[in-house]
Amino acid sequence: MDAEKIEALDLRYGESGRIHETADGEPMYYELRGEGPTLTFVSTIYVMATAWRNFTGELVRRNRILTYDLRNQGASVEAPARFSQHVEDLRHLLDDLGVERTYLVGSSISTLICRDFAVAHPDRVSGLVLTGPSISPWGKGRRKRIVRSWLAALEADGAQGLFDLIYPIVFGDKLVAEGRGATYLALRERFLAINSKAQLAENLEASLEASDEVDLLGRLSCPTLLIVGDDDFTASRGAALEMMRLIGRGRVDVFSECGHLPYFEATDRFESSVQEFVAAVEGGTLAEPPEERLL
Amino acid sequence: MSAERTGPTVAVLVELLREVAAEEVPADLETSGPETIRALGLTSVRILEFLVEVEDRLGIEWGEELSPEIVGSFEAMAEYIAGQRDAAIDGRTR
Repeated sequence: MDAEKIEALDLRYGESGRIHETADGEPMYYELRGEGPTLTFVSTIYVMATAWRNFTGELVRRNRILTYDLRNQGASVEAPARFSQHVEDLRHLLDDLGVERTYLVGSSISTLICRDFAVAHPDRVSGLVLTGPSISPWGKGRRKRIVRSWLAALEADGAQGLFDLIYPIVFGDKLVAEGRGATYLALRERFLAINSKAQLAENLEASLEASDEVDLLGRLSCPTLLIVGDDDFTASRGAALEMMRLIGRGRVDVFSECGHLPYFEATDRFESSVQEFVAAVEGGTLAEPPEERLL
Repeated sequence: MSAERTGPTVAVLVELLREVAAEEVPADLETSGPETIRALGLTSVRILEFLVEVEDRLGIEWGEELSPEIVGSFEAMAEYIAGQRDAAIDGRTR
């Protein structure tokens, strides 16, 4: 990455950002803010490092918030990667920052990265927060069919075509209705600004490599918080309860009137849910067996 | 596109953007040309706050048919708003 590009990114990303060098010498953008237990937010295609600032305003008062752009996203190296590379990149980033243990917060497709990291490095994960998880408790099929349909829309109509397909699916009925034109335009503008057609295609293709093996859920040894909107197109309450049965330890928080991205649609509830989970794990007060809460 | 026609509206748009995203808008903000808003790298939340502020203060309502070029540029957005106002005046005087 040349100096001119870094300068441009600094302007765009602000002063809190830093560049980490991956194991293979590539730049990876990250932000580290606050003090306390480390919460690492693993970005997904809709949400990058900078956006998490909007959804962690309260959490950063009591925790250390680490956010970063995945490989082939935002201000990190622009080159396609295998999906498994994200796990290795995260481990290297944590090593470099001296983070021995962290909570991992994932959203949608990035919940697969969180799951794989927790299975591969259980000693590094204090807890998982899986928001709108793209993980099925029943096995393969649906997720990959959905991703393939998105790839087809992308190929046919570009990034805007893909956005127009996913907007009314990803966001809940209430937000779409009440948000009117301004919300659609704002989200579309950001989506188009941060995603090239090529990067979207590469990253969606890579996500097809992720495993849908149900057994992986049973191999999670850390407590897990599942956050699902009751209007989520894929992560239903029933799926979350079945996932928790397989995981065995944690909590299911169901958000009313929310779609696939509860942190966007109900930021206050999201931050409270995560903080309460972290406090319960840190304090050893997490209820057993797992409980379900309707929020 | 006439700077005389859009200049005052561009100035208002910049003022509104500074109100919602003061830290993200540089002092030497470029407002001429395409993608001048997009280049700021604002998050979706900031863009939404800005668009809602424009609706409230300039008395327009955003439709979903707008092209990305209009949302991403001060000049194109000002031109669109001027067109909306002209249409509203025409409607009232007809």
